[in-house]
Amino acid sequence: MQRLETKKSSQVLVILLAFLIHGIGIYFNVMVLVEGFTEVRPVNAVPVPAGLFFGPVAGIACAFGNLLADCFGQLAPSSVVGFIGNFLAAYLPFKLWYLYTDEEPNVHRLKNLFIYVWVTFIAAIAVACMIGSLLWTAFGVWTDSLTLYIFMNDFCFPLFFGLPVFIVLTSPTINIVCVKPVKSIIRLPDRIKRICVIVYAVVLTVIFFLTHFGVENMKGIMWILYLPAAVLTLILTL
Amino acid sequence: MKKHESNLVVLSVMLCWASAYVFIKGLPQELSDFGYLALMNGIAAVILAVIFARRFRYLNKSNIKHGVLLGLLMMLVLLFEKEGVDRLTASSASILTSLDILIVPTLMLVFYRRRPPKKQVVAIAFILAGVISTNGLSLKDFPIVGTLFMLGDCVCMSLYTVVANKYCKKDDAILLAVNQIVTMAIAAMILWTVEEPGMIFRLNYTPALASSLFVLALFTKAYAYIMLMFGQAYADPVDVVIIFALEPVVTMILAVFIPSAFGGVEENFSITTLLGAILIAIGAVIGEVDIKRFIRRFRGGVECAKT
Repeated sequence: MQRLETKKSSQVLVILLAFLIHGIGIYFNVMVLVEGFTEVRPVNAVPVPAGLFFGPVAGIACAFGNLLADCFGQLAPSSVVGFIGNFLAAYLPFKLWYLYTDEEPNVHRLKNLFIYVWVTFIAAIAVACMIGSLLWTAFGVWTDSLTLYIFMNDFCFPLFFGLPVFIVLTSPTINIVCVKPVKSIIRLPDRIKRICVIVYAVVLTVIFFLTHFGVENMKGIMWILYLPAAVLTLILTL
Repeated sequence: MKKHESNLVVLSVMLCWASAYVFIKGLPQELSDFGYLALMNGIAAVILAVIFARRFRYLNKSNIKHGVLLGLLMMLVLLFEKEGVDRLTASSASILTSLDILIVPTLMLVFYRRRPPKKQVVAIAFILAGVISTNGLSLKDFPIVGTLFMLGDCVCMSLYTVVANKYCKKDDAILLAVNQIVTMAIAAMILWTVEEPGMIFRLNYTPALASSLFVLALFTKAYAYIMLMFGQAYADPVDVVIIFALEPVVTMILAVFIPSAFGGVEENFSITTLLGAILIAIGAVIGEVDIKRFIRRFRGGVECAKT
């Protein structure tokens, strides 16, 4: 079986594909959930596998893909938030994967399958909380259900559609070669980094649930809204 | 590809097909079944041809022959299904469709002399009990012509599953899927033209229609067939039908989460349907999960912890 090498040409091809699918797919939105901000987006399956394979480059491709889609009707200053969110949706899984294993991304073992689900969960909840809080703090936009929809799009589609694509691309027939992990800025033992990630996930989950099922006036508690951004910056430097 | 990986791939195809109903609702009434198939497969064929253009240099006679055969088998499945569903109640059609869970192991036994393992037999029994519980069983609801059409659908689908498993191991999965979709697009286009000449040009292509068509073609055709061919190459045909039997369970879950798209929760949810869904899910777990291995691992883990 021939292994799909990460030669520049094939890498560019796949990234271009992610960029185009993302861009075109969003333009063909099917079910608008929050007018002007989000809809049922099956293309959200792309960022997680693309990110795991191509790291930051895939993040940039997805971010520009989203911006391209916004150019067809929804371009506004708040598109910057979508740009950041889509970059994170691809980059965070890549960044977190190597905290748990030294293997190239694959789900040949059940342990790796759990890692895939875990990093997808963290990325989804991080993107949802980030977009929700940034839209409120920077643009004064607040929609209670927005974070829930973003989370569902970013968690369910990468699991139900992204994971099978990921399995096929890592199967012996194709066996794609992934980019190498980037070096950490902060030199800490992996165990401590993992604890940081768990704490981050717990904090975001609490914020997420408070937003939807608990405190009605979440937008009044500014420090909670800044928290995801602050902790995320820390995570990205891990 | 490991068993759990191929199962996940096949599961995603089933999810695609089960959730397609959400998007089919966006299609106009004047679009006939053949028109729908022709447009879906046509768009999917174009998408795949663009994406995998460089792969066409590996096309050969065997690939084309097998792709065309699979495409025609699938068209037969759809034609039989269309005729059967028109003549039967939804529950009767559903029961008859699920009979492929019996036909596939029989075909495997006849052609390959492969007996299904005990756990698959138990799984099949659970799933059949679940399907009957979900739909109810009354002999009055099975008129002969409709039943024969649905049985034809079932036999063709079972043949498709067994034959696809054989071809996927030999041929390039991507080319097999592309050839299959092209064959289905051509066959559906011919049938559509015969049924409604010139309709393809008279149809009002609104952005909503284009959007639904694009998503359906991308996910229920292009994505689903490529994934199915990859999954079938590694999965056992009986495993495939067991996973596809989960469709009523998925439909019920979707009906709970998106009631507006599935005609309301009440229509899809009752004690008997819930019981049926649970039985089907138990059957699928028995058939697909190596429970003994899990127990061994768990016991091993507990003993390690004690020592």
